Amino acid sequence: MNNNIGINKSKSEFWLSIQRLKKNSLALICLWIIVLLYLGAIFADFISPYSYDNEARDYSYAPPTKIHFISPSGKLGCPFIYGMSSSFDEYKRRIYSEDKKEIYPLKFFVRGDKYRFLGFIPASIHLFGVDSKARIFLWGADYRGRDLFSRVFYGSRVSLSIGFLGVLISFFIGLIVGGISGYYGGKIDNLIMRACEMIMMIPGFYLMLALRAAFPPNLNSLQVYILIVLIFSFIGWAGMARVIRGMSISLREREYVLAAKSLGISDLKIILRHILPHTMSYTIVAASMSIPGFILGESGLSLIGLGIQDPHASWGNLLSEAMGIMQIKFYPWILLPGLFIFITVIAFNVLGDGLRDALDPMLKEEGLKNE
Amino acid sequence: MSRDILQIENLRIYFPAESGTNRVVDGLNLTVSESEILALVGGSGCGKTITGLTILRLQPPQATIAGGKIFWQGKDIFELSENQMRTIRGKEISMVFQEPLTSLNPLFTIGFQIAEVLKLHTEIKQNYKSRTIELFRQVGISQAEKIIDDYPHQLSGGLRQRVMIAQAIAASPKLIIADEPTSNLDVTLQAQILELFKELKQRLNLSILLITHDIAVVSELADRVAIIHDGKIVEEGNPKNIISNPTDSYTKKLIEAVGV
Repeated sequence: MNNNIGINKSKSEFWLSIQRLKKNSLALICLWIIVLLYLGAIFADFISPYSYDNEARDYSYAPPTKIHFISPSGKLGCPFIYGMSSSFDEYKRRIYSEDKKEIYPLKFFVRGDKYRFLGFIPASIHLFGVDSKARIFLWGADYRGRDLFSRVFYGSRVSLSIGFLGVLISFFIGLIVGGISGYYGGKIDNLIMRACEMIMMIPGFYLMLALRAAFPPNLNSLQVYILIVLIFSFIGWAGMARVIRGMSISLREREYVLAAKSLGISDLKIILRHILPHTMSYTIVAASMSIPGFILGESGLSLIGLGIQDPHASWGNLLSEAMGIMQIKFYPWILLPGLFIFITVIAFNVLGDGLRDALDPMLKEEGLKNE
Repeated sequence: MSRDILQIENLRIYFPAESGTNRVVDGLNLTVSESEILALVGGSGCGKTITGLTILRLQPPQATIAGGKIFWQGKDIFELSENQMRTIRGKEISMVFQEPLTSLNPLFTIGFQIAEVLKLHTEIKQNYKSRTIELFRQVGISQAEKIIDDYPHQLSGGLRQRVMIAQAIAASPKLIIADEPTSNLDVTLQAQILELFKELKQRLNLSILLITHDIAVVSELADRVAIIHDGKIVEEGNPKNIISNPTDSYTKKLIEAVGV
C-alpha cells in the first residue's frame, strides 16, 4: 500500500469494492468460469466442430471419441483419431469400435459448416475438426448422431443469455416500480405491493407453466425464447420490487434526499440518483444470485418440452434426452449439459456471495464477529 | 426600508398526536427583508425547523397546515403547483442543513452534486467545473481544484458544510434558510462559517434566515432576531437590544442559559 493517500486520485466506493473482490480468490475463479462460459456461448459456432443441427444418424449415441497421440507404429506425433465402425448387439443397440486402419489427424482452423460469426460475418472456419469422412465427438453424440460438444456450446447461448436478459428486464422493472412505490408511499405503494403479492402468491414454476400454456404450443424457437424471457421477467420483478421498496422507504428519509428536494430536484431524478444507486450493492448481489434461478427455470421448461424445441439446443432440452434410466446407463455422456448447469449455478452463487462481501464489508465484519 | 421578500402570516402547523393534535407552530408571524440576516432562535421542539421546511413546502407528510399563509415575493406558496414550487426550491430559496455529514450523497463526487444544481437552475450548460471552483472560492475553500473530484467522505465536516453552502448559493438564490448550520461543528469552525454567511450576505445581496438555538452566536451576526417559543414569536428586534434588555421571560431564560 502506498502512504500518500491524499495525493492519490479519489477512490470511489466501486473502485474499493473491486479491490476487495480481487482478494477473494474463490469468487474470482467463479468470475473467470462465468466469463469463459459466456465467451464459449459467444464464439460457440467457432469452437464447435459442427453446427447444432448437423446430424449423422449412423453415429447415434456414439461415445466420446478418443484422441490419440501415439501412432500405431509407436511414434509420438500430432493428435489423431481413428475412424469408427459400428455393429448392432442383440438389443439392436449400436456398438462402436475404433477402426485402426483409418487415421484422421486432428486439424485446427478447418473449414466446416457455414455460420455467421458474431451473427453477421459469414464464416466457415472452426477451431478444430477432422476430415469430413470421419466425425469427432469430443463429448459423444446424441440419439440423432449430433455432436454433444457442439450442442452444449450452442445450448449455452440460450441458457446463459436467458438468465441475463431475464434478470436485466425484471430488475429494471423491479427497481423502478419498487423505487416509486417506496418513495411515494401511501396509496401508490399499497396498490403496487398488492400487485406484487398477487404474483408472488403463485408458486413460480406453476405460474410459468400456466403462462406458457396460455400461448400456442407450436411457436418457433425464437418466439419461445422471447416468450420465456417475458414470462420470467413478469414473474421475477415482484420479489425485487418488494425489497427495493423497503430500501427506498428507508433511503427517502436520508438527509441528502431532503437536501436534494430543497434544491428543487425532481422526484424522478431523486429516485434515480439519490435512492436507487444506494440499492446497487444489494441489486448486484441479488442479480448474481437470481441468474441461476432463471437458468434453472429455462432448463425446467425445456426439459419437459415447453421451452426451446429441437433441433435448437438449450441445456434444458439437451437434458431431456437423459430422462430415461437406460440412456443414462448406456450413454452417460448425455448428462454433461447437467454438469454445465451445475457449474454455472454454483459459479453465480459463489460470485454473488463474493460480491456481497466485497460490496458490503460491514456485513462481512459483522459475520466474522458472530462466528 | 428594504423590501420584504418573505412574509409568514399566522402560520399554524399541527401534527397528529396521541390525544388530539400537537400544535407545533401556532400562529407564527415573521417577515424577512431583502439582504438581511434574520435569526430565528428557540429551544428544541419549538417549531423552528418545521417552519423552515414549510417555507419550501417540504414539511413531513404527517404535518397539516391548519392555517396561515406564506408569501414569497407576493406569491402564496400554498397556492403554487408542485412544479412551480420546484422552480423556487434551490433557485430562489435554498436551504443549508444541520448535518454536513449526511446532507451530501455519498455516492457522487461533490463536483457532480454542485453541477446537478447548476444544470437545473442556471443558464450554464457546460463547463460546470470552472463555475464550481468559483463557488468553492466564494465559500472559502482554498484548494478548490483538488477537492472537486472528491467524494463527501473524504472531506472534513467544515469543508463539507462549505460545500453545502456552495451548493445552496450555486443558483444565486435570494434567500438561504440555514437550519442550525453550525451546531455540529466545533467552536472555531462555527465562527468561520458564521463569518462566511455574513460575507456572503454582503457580497451576494442575500437574505439569510438563520435557524438556531444558540442566542450567543447570533448576536454578532444577525440584523434582527426573532425568539420563537411554543410555535409563536415571543419577541423580535435588534439583537443587541434583546440581549441587553429582554422583555419576554422565555428570552430571559435563553440568555441566562448561554450566559452572554
